[in-house]
Amino acid sequence: MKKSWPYLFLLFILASLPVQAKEGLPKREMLIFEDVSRVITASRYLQPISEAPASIDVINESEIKRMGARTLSDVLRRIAGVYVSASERHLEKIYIRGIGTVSSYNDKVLLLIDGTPQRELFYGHAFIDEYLPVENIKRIELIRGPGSALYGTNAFGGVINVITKDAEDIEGTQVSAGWGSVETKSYSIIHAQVRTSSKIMIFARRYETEGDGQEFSKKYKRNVLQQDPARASSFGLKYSLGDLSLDAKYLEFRHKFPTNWDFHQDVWNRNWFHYKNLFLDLKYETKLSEKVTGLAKVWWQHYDNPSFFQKYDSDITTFTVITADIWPLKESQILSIQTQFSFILPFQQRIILGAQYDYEEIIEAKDLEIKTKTGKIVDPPPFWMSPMDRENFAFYLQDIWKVGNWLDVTLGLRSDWHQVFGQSINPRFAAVLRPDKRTAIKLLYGQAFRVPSYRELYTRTGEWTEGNENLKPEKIKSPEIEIDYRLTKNIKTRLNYYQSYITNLITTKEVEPGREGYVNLAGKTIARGLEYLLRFTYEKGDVSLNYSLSDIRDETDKRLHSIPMHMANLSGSYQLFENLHINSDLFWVGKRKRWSDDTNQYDLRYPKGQRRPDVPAYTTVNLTLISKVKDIEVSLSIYNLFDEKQYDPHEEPKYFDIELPGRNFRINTIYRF
Amino acid sequence: MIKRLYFIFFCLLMATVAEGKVLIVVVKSRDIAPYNIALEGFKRALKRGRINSNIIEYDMKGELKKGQEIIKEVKAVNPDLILILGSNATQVISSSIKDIPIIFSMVLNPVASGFIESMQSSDNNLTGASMDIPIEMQFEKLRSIIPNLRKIGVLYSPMESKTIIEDASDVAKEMGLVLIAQEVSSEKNVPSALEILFEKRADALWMVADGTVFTTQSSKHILLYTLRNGIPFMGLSLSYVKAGALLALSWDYQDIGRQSGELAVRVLSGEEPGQIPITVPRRTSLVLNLKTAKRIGIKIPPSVLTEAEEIFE
Repeated sequence: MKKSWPYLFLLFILASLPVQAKEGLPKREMLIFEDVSRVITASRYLQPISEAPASIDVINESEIKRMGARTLSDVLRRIAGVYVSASERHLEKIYIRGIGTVSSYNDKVLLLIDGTPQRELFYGHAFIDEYLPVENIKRIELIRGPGSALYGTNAFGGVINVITKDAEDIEGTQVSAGWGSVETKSYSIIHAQVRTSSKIMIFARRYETEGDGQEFSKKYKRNVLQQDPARASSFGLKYSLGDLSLDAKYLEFRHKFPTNWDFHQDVWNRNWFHYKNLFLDLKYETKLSEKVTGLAKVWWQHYDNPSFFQKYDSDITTFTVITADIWPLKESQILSIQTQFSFILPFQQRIILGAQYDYEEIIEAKDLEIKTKTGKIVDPPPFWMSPMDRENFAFYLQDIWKVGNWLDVTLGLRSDWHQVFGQSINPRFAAVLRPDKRTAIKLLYGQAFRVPSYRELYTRTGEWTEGNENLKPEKIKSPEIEIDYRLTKNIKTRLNYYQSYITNLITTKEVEPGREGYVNLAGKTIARGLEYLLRFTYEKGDVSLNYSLSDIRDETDKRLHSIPMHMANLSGSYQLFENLHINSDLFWVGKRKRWSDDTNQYDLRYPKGQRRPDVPAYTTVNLTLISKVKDIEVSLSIYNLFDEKQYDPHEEPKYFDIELPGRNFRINTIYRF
Repeated sequence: MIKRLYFIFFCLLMATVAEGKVLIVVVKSRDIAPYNIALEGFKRALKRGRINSNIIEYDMKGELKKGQEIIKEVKAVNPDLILILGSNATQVISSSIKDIPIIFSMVLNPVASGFIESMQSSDNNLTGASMDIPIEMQFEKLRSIIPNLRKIGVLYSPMESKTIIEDASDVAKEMGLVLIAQEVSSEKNVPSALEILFEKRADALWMVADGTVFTTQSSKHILLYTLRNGIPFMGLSLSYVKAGALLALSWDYQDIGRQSGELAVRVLSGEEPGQIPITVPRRTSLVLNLKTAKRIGIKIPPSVLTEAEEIFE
């Protein structure tokens, strides 16, 4: 018996094996139903945009390359309903459906990079120019209309979501170099590796341009040119391990003084506006069960302005000093924490529930010293703001319900509790009807708010516009209808009609004799408009046409100045040969109304002291040729092909218009290995 | 007399009511959307076939133990018909219940799984709507994108997929193609098996539903390998195409459910399940990944592009 027990034990094991084998159940169908980790990121093409519960345009990487886009603004201006205007402060301004700000700062649009808000605290500005490296962009989504139900403040006129490349999109190394007019150069390198459970990508880019030359004029003969000398450097790291991902970015930007001021040449040569931003984004996203997904995210943004001017002498007889409208903000930071859960419920319902906490801190704000020609310091200083901080809490809920194959309903609500302004509740509604396979009809409604910027609230200038701590947030409500129709497999068309009602709009007004301050407008600003898109895709290319009509009026029913009522874009691409593509864009921007109190002081094209005609309409044609042989891609772009004279209105009345660049070109090379 | 008449009338009424409704038990392998969509199709087909039914639903949750419990309850309830969704539940229920008609639905490779003898007839109490897209159709689709296709590579484990590979080999021969099948005993062998397969110069990789070959880790490796080496990969489903495979043929789950319902109507009308052929999907849709196509240097013919129901780009 003692000797036989090992054999009995072995027999027991062997006897139990068939039972154990029966325990294993086949997994065949689960291979079909389960999600597979992506190694190449692609988004659906035939279905999605017409079914998204929003008015949305998506521009992908190949389109960005074909249009020869150098900046985010180059891409955005091609989209129906979007107007991009030059600014004398080197910061391009964006209006979505006529909603923007007439000062230099894009505070009515929310810019996201990979879903993370990029907010500049002092002016609330969203940078859409050379600041962002376009070489690293995979896709741009523009959502028109109020978006605060999901994103909170500043998602007012729309949301721009820039999706950058992932490691799987590169997997290897990509090197690019570009050279163009006015000594513009850019270089970038991206390297990525993908392993079974981790991936890493690093990115570096350098951009330089000398612009149109020195900007100071000789005694009031102002040289108003749009392309300032600029330098931009950016570095990025994306790393993910399983469900955890880290995204770090460093963006640094410098440019010369604005175009409309006179500066002593030495000063102009020496000094730059200079700002640096560091972003850190840590995200954990996982499937908690078959029907529940969870996300936790922390992001931190640090802003630093090392170019603050302590002392400055001026040689101009009529001014004591020139320091106007530069950033007095030395250092600031934003910390945000977000958690979100997504539940799949019966009856094809999906619920998203989330919470967010934001902490904003002005770490250092500097008074500007003004010195007269004799060296005496002027008191009080023109800008003043103490270090301060504030918090915001938000909860949001979104319910997406698919009713059969013919209707999707989305209901959303977000409540923000702001330390200064109290509560703001913003709902959202979307119904997407699909009566047949070719047609989608969207009924949309959204509300949004914009918290006043620190500049609008707290600055005490003495000479320039005074802050007002009693300002209320701006609000917008917007219903919209969109019809998408696929005429054939190759031809699709879209028509939108919207109305937007804006209250508490913040503007400037004379608060004391000779001094302006920020106030909320009492009445309603109303924007109405139409957008139309026609797109034809064929084997060797595509053609698309879009037109927008935007009628935005103030509380007295007067049309707002500086915004075109009509715009159109015609673009086409064609594969000339196997390795050669040609792409052309034609932009037409309608005339823009002047300020009501426009009387010419500085514009040499018109008689002084008289009201000028509206800023004329203009047409620009751009052309890009792209050739790809094996792993090398070369593109040649010519902008403003016919060298048309074009102007955008200045953000201040009475000032000269800003002349846009004449014909200019760029050659760009990309090599992948 | 009147009381007797009332009594007879009442019995007739009950008999009518009882006879009108059939009792159907539904057992799902798991409670997931594709099965629920198929179940909806099943119910619609019953309605169209004017079958008045009471339906009791069970969810096996992928657990053998739960399946054993469900068997006891089903036997106690003694339904007129059982609908089973998925292979897991089919394996468990059909091995224990031999005297109640069973319709399986959303099942891949029912012959290879041992549920039935052949697709023409089961010779037992089963029939059903399989998810088996004819191999010939799959190879034709692959050939429409790769005109010079001659050799198709496939990874498989003999334990799971021997029968399918034998069938696929025959089909390939009839189509003038060669199937190069490389055995894999576990996911660890996948990398070396792939190398061997492509040393033999396969023109494309075809995927079979083999849980030994395709795990979370190995699937990613296979996708990366095919992308890096420019190999067209025909995945099993939309998920694989979304993840980076070049193409796949996808199913209409509701229609598969409808097919099961039509079979159920036939069985409930008196036909023997064992004599009814197993159905294959009558609606499939082509899914393509153009980004993959570009990456591996494949130009998709316009006729194939226009045929595709879903495209990833």
